[in-house]
Amino acid sequence: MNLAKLIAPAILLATTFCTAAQAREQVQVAGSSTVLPYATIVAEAFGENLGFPTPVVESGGSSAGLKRFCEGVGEGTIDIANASRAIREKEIAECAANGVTEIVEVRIGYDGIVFASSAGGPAFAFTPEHWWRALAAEVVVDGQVVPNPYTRWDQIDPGLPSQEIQAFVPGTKHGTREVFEEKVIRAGCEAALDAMAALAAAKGGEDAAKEACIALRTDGRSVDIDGDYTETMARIDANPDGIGVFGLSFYENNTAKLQVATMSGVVPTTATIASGEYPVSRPLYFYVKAAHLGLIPGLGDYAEFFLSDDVAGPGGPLETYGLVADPALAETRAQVAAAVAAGAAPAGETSAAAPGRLPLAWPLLAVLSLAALGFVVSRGRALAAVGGDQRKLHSLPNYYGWHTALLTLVPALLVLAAWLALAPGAAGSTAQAAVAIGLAGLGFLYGLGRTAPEFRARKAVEAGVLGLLILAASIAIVTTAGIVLSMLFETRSFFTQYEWTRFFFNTTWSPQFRGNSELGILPLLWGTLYVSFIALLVSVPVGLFAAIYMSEYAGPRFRAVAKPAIEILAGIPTIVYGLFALITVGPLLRDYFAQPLGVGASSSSVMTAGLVMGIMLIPFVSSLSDDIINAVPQAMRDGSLGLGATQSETIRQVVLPAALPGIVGAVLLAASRAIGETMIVVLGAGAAARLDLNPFEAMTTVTVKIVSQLTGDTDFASPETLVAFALGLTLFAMTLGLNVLALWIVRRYREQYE
Amino acid sequence: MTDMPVRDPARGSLFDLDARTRRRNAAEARFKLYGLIAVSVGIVALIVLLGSILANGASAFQQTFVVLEVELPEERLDKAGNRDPAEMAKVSTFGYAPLIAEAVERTMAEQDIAIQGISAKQAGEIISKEAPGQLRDFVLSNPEAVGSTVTFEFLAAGRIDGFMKGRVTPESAARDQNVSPEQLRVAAAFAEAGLLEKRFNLGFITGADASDQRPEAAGLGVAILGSIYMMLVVLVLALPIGVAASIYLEEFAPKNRWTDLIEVNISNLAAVPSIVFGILGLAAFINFAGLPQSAPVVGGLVLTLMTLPRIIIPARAALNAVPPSIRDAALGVGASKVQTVFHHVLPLAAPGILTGLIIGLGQALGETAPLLLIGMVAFVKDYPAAPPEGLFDPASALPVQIYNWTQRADPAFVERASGAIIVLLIFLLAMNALAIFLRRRFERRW
Repeated sequence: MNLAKLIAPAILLATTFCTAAQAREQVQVAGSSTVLPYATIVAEAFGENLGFPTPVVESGGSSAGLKRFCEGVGEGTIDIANASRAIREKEIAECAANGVTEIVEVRIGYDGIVFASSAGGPAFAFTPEHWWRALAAEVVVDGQVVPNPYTRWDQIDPGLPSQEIQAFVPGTKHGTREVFEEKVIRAGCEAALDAMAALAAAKGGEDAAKEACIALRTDGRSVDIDGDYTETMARIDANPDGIGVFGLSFYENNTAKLQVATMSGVVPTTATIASGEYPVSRPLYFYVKAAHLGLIPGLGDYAEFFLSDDVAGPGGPLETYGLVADPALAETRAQVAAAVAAGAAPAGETSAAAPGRLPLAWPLLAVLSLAALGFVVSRGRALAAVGGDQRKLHSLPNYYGWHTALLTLVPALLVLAAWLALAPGAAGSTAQAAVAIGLAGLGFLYGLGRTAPEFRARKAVEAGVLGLLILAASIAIVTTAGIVLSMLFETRSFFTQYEWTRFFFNTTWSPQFRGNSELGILPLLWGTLYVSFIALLVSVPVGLFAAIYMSEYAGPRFRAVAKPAIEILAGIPTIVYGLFALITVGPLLRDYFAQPLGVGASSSSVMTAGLVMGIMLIPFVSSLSDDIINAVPQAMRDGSLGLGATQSETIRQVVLPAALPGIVGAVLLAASRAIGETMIVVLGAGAAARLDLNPFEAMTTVTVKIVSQLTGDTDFASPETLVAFALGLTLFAMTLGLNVLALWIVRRYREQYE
Repeated sequence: MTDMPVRDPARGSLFDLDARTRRRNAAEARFKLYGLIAVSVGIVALIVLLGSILANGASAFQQTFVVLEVELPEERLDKAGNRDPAEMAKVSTFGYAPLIAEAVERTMAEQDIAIQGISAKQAGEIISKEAPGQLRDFVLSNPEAVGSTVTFEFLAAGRIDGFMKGRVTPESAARDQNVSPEQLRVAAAFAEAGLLEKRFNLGFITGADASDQRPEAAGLGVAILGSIYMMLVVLVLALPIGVAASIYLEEFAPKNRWTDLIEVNISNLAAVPSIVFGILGLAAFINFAGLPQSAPVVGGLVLTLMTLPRIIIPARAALNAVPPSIRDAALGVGASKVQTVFHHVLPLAAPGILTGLIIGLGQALGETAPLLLIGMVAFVKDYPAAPPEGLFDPASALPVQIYNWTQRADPAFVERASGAIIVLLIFLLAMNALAIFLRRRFERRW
């Protein structure tokens, strides 16, 4: 029966490998989240109508999409990258280096960028100059360059409503930001009378002036949104004075809640954008890997279907959804048709690579069967050698079977695994199969040869089992090594492009699309520590007191209800906490604390994120502390109570000191959770990197920036994207340090009571 | 007995507390109150959170359906007239859409619903954009139905559904470009005629995801399957590895540098930001090992690595809680160390290990961040096959589906995201309840 237990999952595993090699049937698309809704609409209709499986469309940003696109040719890579910007030269070079030489560029249309405010409020009619005056860090007043003095829109232009300036603009990871800076802020700066001249005089040159034009103010009136348009809208919901930057399609889906502002007198619609009257828009693209046209069924059909009249034409679903049709659609269609026709021809040869992996399952199955055979044969042989009298064997008969089975299985599997890890491409080669089966055969024969009544099979098996246990425990080390390795190379390539001293000691974090970014980690670290500190300030007292109450005061029935209830808090997905912070806690804190005290007007703040994260961490502190307090022996309490101390005195002076090291460990664990938390900070604390003491200001953390830089639209080989890996490695080092400290404290001060 | 101290009557009765005792008792009461407040803070936070989730999401389990008689004219669906499905497939869903608009118009005429200022096309928009596909599938599988009139049940469009649920009002519709007050009046008239009704929607739980234009058709089926598959992978890998690692560390490991290194690593991995595991998964499993993207097997592997330390820590505690006397007894009657552990210690620690495992699985189930980087945030419309093949098919996962829906433009997805959170929480609660049950039922106190 032991045998069956071993073999059944192994065979399952082997069959899994067997089927892993199936050819991919569906088109895989990844990339920009702006293109995503259009791509899903097309994918859905494509699947409905053309008899192919529905393509899988991933979001994750233009940068991540193009990176995956450029990783090479073959079923393991994606077929289409969606992008909200054109592919860069550097990326084409990277693609070519990996063998992706033929790329078909398809421009699907334009995305209008609109400015919208809460539907209930006053209407706005903007010019680019209004936006520059409202959001620039420095503006020109009476020929003088001064820090932006404006706080209300009517100060800029009496024609605008008297409303606080509060803008939600796309963060620097978004392609939209670049368009916003170029076509609104810089255009406004250039349109403003004398602004360029004054700035050039003050900054010493045209170029410096152009840079100064698009530097946005950092006092909280312009808030970067690293998330998507839903986040911008949630912020406008929370702050009715806010004006946000949206995509036209998003606005058109939410006209019940948002009202759009005109730009230079033009209302943004698909018509005014297509005609060029409305100035702010950007092209959207997807890129097709020509080498896959003959490899993946339906890839060419998808590209053509995307551009067909039913889909992209007037009145089609894409236009209905808000895509501004490309005037050159017919040309693009012809180009794609030509590329598809050319690419579809050389099929067959590349797809032959697919079944090449299939044989991997066969050596596995062979090794497994050999092991099973070894078990049966050895067991039988041992028993036969003593004429069925078990007592004459050194070990129980099963041990003889296990001995041979382990010898057959383990070396062969280990070598196979090592081979796969070192040369994953070689999976399923004949040499591999031969080596694996050969090793298994050798093990089988050796094990069988050793099977004799006086052989100490149990000792051998137990040594083997111990080895396997050690192996399992060492996976932790392999994982750590993997984590470090997976970030090390990218980090190194980041530091070749960006000095490490600037990364660690610069106090500014402002990634730019054009390069020349300031990527100092200090503001992010400060935000991380500040948010974590506030979270601990909430969770430690509450969690600790809850643990004390439940372990020392509460009756069993109360405890049976309350303890699991509080533990549920740890199971609620963090995105729920994030939304709670954004919609409920943020506005509450702003309206009842920050604004009356005059310390800030932002609904997303360190305080918001810290409080909500504190709630999430309560169970981490309370559960662990509860266990630790329970582990303090009852005799110590009895002694204290017997001397006349009250219960609280006993807890404070006897139980807590005894439990302290464990509690410190729990707190440090909670601290590392706080440092690593992402979603709550994204929604609760904002995305502004700054060094500030005021807890009611928006700040951001390392984890938020890892996600946003990795899922953005920036060039994937640029320092702006690679910095995410350096941040990840730094974060890893930080949590490692905290944990070593926690472990040391627990070891150093732990009391043994048994 | 005469040397017993006589109480000084000046100090008063024993029942009168002196100031110091009163102070101490007050401190005691305060201390107890702090504890109670702390517990209440936790429970109030839980109630508020659950309350807001339920309030937002409960309506996602209901959906508005419209009953409609649709004419299937031969000249438009089967021009050749030979009922050959291959030829009929040339008529795309774009060709079927007008049939639905005409059916709505005809029904309005039959029911004497006269609404000013609404075109046939607009009236047709009260039906989901999913309907043409449904119609086409029906016709292609029943070619003989062409030429007749068939009664269908379609989903109502998202805004109409919102109207039935009170999310959309005539006032908001006046501002909304996607629905007009007239369309709402058509819907109201249909509802009065009994052709349009709101009821429980199984499709929300079993259906596949849908695009931004069809929020009413979006379901969780693929995400639930994907999550279950990932949990299967985690279970199959994390249980044996986690138990083996805990046994080694708790029962066999000598005190040396290597053991220390492993211990530091495990407690560190338990606290590493989960997003970092995503980076690892992308580099190791997708780029290096060449496993397919968006596949539950990759998600499962990443979550296994993430969950392992969170399983090992409670498993070690459970092993540690087995009293030494058990081991001594087994060793005393001649069992080997390995036999002692596997035959006696492990079975006794099993409930504790299982509890830790289930809680670890629960955490893995709700994890979003690492899945963002390995392509699980995807629009997947086709169901993955049954395991083991299905483990390599693209699929979504519950938390990722929630994240995905919160990013969609159509406001109807807010409700669906909250509904999906409820489904996720039900799974989590069920797992936690199972863990608590196991703990209660099998846990032994020594």
